Amino acid sequence: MKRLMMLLLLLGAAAGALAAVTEPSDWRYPKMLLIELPKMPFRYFV
Amino acid sequence: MPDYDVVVIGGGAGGLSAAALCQKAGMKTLVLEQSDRIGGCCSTYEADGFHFDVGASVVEVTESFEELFRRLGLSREKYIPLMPVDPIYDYCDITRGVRFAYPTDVEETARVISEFAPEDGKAFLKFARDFTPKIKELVNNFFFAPCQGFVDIIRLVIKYPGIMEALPMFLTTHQKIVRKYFKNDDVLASMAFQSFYAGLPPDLCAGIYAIVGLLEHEGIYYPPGGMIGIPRGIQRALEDLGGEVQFGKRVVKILVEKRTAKGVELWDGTQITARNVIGAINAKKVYMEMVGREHLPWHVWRGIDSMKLSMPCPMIYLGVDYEPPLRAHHTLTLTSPQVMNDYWSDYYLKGKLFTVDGRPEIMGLVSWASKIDPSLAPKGKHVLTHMGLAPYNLAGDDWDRHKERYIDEAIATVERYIIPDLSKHVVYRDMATPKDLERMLLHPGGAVYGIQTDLSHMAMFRPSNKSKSIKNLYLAGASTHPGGGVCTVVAGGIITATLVTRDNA
Repeated sequence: MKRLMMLLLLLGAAAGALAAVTEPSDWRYPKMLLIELPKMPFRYFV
Repeated sequence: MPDYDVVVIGGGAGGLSAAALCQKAGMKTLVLEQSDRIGGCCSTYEADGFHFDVGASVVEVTESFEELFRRLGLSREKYIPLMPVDPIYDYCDITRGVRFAYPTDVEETARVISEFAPEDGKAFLKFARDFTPKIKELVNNFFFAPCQGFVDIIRLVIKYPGIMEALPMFLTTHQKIVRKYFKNDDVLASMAFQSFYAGLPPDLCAGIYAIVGLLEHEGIYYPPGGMIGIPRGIQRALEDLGGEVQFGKRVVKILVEKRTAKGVELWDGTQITARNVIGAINAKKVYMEMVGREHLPWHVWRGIDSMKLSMPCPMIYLGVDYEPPLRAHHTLTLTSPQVMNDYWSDYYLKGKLFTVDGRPEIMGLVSWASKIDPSLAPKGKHVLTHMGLAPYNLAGDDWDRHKERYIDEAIATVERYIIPDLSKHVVYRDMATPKDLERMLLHPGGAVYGIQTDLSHMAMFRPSNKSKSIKNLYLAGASTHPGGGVCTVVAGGIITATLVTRDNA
């Protein structure tokens, strides 16, 4: 449990640091691709 | 015995290119165009003596035309004469006294940039050095190669390993690439707006579109008599080879039996049978309206239904009674990438037509076609077209109600940033709203660039040029690989014809 908390804290800190140095709009492309990802296997068959 | 070997739905540049090549291969080919005018978006109409281009205003990447006519064994110059357009763009914001034009020559463009942003001038040369080899690799190989699936991609990479160098450009964004090179806001604006050719703002558009700003420096061209000269030239080539084009023939249904295309049915009930059918209109329309759910496996239906349409470009057509104070065929307002990104989320996705300060949109492209071809307007007069961006669905409102106000606001915007007193010289005005584009050209959502072009809608994730679910059905046009834009759809037509002729050999 302690290890999991540490891992979550580390991940949170890494995400926070990354967010601090990245412009908000830089997140939109990966976010959009993430949303579109589940649809891509279906698109492949069109 | 079927009536034709190949029936093509839609007389746009993509459909005509595929048709001409199929006819050349010895197949009896018929093109069915629903309107009375050839070309779809790449066309020209006449009103009160003015000749306006419907959508497309120039062509670039003329390698597509050269390749098409090389395969047809005909002279491109004879069928599609082209005049070089130089400078490419004039960027203008008279409120800040900013005005600069990019000529075709790369070194000269770097010099223009250096005058107000010396570091970016050097960066432009580096940008050109870094990306020109990638452009050649992509245009010569990726552009004309089928991308039906993983096998095609692997084959392409084995044959042309250099194409791998362009791979990172698909994974990053247009904005990231241009920001890496340029710092000046006006230079950034001039290098970022091309993302809208993919129907997306710079931070959502695949990085590969950053090369468009450089591709234009390979030369942009205009055909005498208006953009209709391009489809007319391909139509003439098709007819000289023995093919046929019929106008006023609206296809409502693709005849399908046991998951095999057998022909088409027109709006009046006439049926035309064919060995192969090419749907050269928006792929969503082909599958969801003309083929129908009953003939498609559920996963294919889900795939096509999930595809997004590119941002529509409302067009305003103006006839003016003087020579407008412009310096180039194309004049563009300057808008920073951040403003373009914010417009997408704050206005476009919310269905808002007018921004807070009453402007209809964030950017506008003014084309002055009668500069290069004065025959497009009566003596002493000129034609201007304005291409903007706007949502198709307006929040709680209707386009038809706002058409006149939109024209007024767009003219006011052009007056503010580019041509003062424009409104005093307008003697003819009309507009094609996204709804009109849908009605006239059968583009769902008025999306003239077809399906959106991001990584999740590219290559094998874009509707295939050869249907994977309906035998003998093929597709061409902006919503198929490699994408939208006149020369790109011609390249797509070449790919489609390659697949049809291969399957019918």
